[in-house]
Amino acid sequence: MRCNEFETRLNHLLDRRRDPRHDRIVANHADDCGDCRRLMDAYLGICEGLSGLASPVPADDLGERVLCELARQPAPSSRRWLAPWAAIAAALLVFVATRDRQPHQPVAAPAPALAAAPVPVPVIVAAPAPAQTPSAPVGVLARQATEKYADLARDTQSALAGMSMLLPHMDIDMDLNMDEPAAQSDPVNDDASPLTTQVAAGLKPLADSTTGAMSFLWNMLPHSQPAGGTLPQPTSGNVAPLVRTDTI
Amino acid sequence: MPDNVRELVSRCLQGDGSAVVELVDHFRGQVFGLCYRMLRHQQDAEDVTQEAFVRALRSLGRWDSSREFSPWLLAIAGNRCRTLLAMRSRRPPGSPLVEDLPDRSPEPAGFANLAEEVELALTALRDEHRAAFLLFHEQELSYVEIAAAMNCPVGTAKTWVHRARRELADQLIRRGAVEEHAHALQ
Repeated sequence: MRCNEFETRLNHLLDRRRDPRHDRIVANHADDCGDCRRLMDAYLGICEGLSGLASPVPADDLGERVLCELARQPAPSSRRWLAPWAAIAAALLVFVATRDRQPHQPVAAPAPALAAAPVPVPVIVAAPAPAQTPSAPVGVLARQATEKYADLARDTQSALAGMSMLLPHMDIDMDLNMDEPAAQSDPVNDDASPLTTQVAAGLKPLADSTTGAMSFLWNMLPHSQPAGGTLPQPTSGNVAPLVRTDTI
Repeated sequence: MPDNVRELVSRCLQGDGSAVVELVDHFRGQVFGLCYRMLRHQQDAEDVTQEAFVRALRSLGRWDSSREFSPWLLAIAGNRCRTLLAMRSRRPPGSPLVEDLPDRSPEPAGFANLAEEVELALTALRDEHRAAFLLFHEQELSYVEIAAAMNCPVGTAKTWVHRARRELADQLIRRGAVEEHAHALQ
């Protein structure tokens, strides 16, 4: 064995966590070459010295501090990226649902607001009937379309709520050159567990976004404005903006 | 990986605060040890250790349970350490950032002080060499795990460890911790 091969074999043995002194080839060469012997001794000394390094320990309350920090920081803001997609998904669902209804048909009366879903109920205003008459009375069609729309709204909201439950810890990045997280907004409920509070806080933006999406869609409907009337307002309180401009 | 780690992770995902504390206690030695060796500062190491655990717990749902938990956690800690080291390098000179190690004169040290010599030699390594070396020899990760933790090819991780060994060996020899040698490769 030549000296330049010795170090390669030395590394090979150390990579496999084997003692090089137990390798016959290495041991034989080290017996014959003082320089290589010293190199092997240095490598062994590194391992020995490493095992003798003092191991400082962290504070005993690290676990509790981590728990407090988790509770102190806001819920991951990364879920906000769902808001515009929720609006788009809701728009697509409504488009598909109302695509086959006859346009420009009069509506007898608006459907009552639904207590279960905090979304506005559209009033469909129709133009004069086309040449082909519908197979059912116009009022029935309107009621069916409205109920269908309401069902879709409920389903969309349920789906979005389910998505947020499936993604409880949406942190984006392990490349940790991110900026520090934004300042927290909602106060922490001292009586709730920290993670429960985070999940509950995370659902609220989605509910608000869905409400906002429905309101947006309602305003975009081509005949959503009743004659001489005003647009119905969303029943929920705070309506979140549809497009988030803050970064994740 | 012990089954209790998977169970702990599962309980953490369900919001069990006691499981969070237990998980931290289980791995805090490993994580803090790596941070301390990389940052060479007790307080910084504690802060980064805490931050690493917080980040890991917030992204716990993304951990692949078919893999070992420790390398994944150490990868997060290593990233945080490198971020802090990069911030340090941008700070104006003169800031007392690193705890002073004992100033040892170049005298034959002997193996009785070998640990101190190794610790001193570690400070002279490049950050990535030191991190890879410690992950291999102290945390006993494989090269595949180190590569994943440091986001580099396996060959690069291996090269870093080999270079670290060579530089440490040269340092020990230079300072007389092992016998002086003058070696010319043939």
